[in-house]
Amino acid sequence: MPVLPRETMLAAICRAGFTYRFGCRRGGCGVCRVQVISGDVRYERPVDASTLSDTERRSDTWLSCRAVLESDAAIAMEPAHRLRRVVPFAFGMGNAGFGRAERGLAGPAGH
Amino acid sequence: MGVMRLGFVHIRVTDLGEAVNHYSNTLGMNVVEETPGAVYLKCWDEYDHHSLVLEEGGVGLVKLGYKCESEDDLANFERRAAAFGATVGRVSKGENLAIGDGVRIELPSEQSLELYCEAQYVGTDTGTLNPDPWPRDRRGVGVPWLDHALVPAEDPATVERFFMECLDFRPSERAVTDPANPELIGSWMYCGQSVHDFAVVQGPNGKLHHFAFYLNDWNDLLHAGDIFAMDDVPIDFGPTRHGISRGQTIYFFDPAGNRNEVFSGGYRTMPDFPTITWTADQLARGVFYIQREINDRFLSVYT
Repeated sequence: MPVLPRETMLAAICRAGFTYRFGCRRGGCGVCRVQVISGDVRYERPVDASTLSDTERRSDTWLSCRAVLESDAAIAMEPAHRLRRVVPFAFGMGNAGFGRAERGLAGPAGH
Repeated sequence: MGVMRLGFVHIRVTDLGEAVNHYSNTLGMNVVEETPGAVYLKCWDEYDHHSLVLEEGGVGLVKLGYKCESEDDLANFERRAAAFGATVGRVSKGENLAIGDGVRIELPSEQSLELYCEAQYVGTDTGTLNPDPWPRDRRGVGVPWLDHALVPAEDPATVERFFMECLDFRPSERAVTDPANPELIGSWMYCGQSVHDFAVVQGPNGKLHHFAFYLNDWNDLLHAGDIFAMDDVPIDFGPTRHGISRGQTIYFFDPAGNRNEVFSGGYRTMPDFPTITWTADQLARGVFYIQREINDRFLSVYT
């Protein structure tokens, strides 16, 4: 899934025609958490400290509404939070393919 | 005599500048005063010093302030809250900027409630002598006043009983599991003639569900929705109608993730108002009357 420079994971996923379980979209509720399996991620805007436990932070859990990719990345979502395709057109998807979309996100330098 | 209204909401925000921009430019409140780490705002049709305190750092509710009519009310409510078993204390004038002596109560659901009866008078933006209907320099949504707040509670029945027995609130509407053997899901309560001034629903203690600003009608609500789109405000739900309260609504989030509402309509209540009951099987219609479906955020996202 292609991601624009400085675009949040959430924005990229929604732009590609998918949805999943998210809440305030402002780093305050913690609902949109994902686990980063590989890749470099950073926050550009504030996230409330109480939304993630220390254990979660240590295990690379990030809030997708605020997390911005610095490289190609792979993420995992809890089963109940899996992506659902809501826009049945492939715009913005490039050749990434829907089958890979649940697991792979390409960073700004990606395809 | 008694509690008059929700006077102020004091919340935490992760970024004070972004929050001030949201409440001031998007919603149209006026910044009244700034202190290190905090900003005080009021709506154009409010006459007390402030109705919103933004405190930098974190997210969620610091306290709800309800304004009472007299000192006697404060003493009376303090005594009854203590007899109920709540943790009660006194607040000195000035502890809350521009607010007089008060009574601090920890609700059975662990949120802080403060009762007070004096606030510095500032006046509305249109004044009290031959006023215009609205201020010409109104910004954004132009919310006229803070309306109500809703908090979650592990045991909403005890919170409802507290507001009835200690503060003389009455429920306008209640949601229960089953009328034959009712367990309370939520209660919408009034102290004056509004449809609700406070509400509680089943959920985690110590959290905020939302606080709401009043709007006149459905057209103002649509105008608010347009502003939210222009300012990229994340929407939770709406515009739609509530079955409960008969009001119209948009739920949205501030830049820290605290849920806000703009609310219009409703109906008037009085001491003899017959409480309306909603059953669990009709709850979706009660919450979002038109869609009859509750999204996966509304009853699970709190700050």
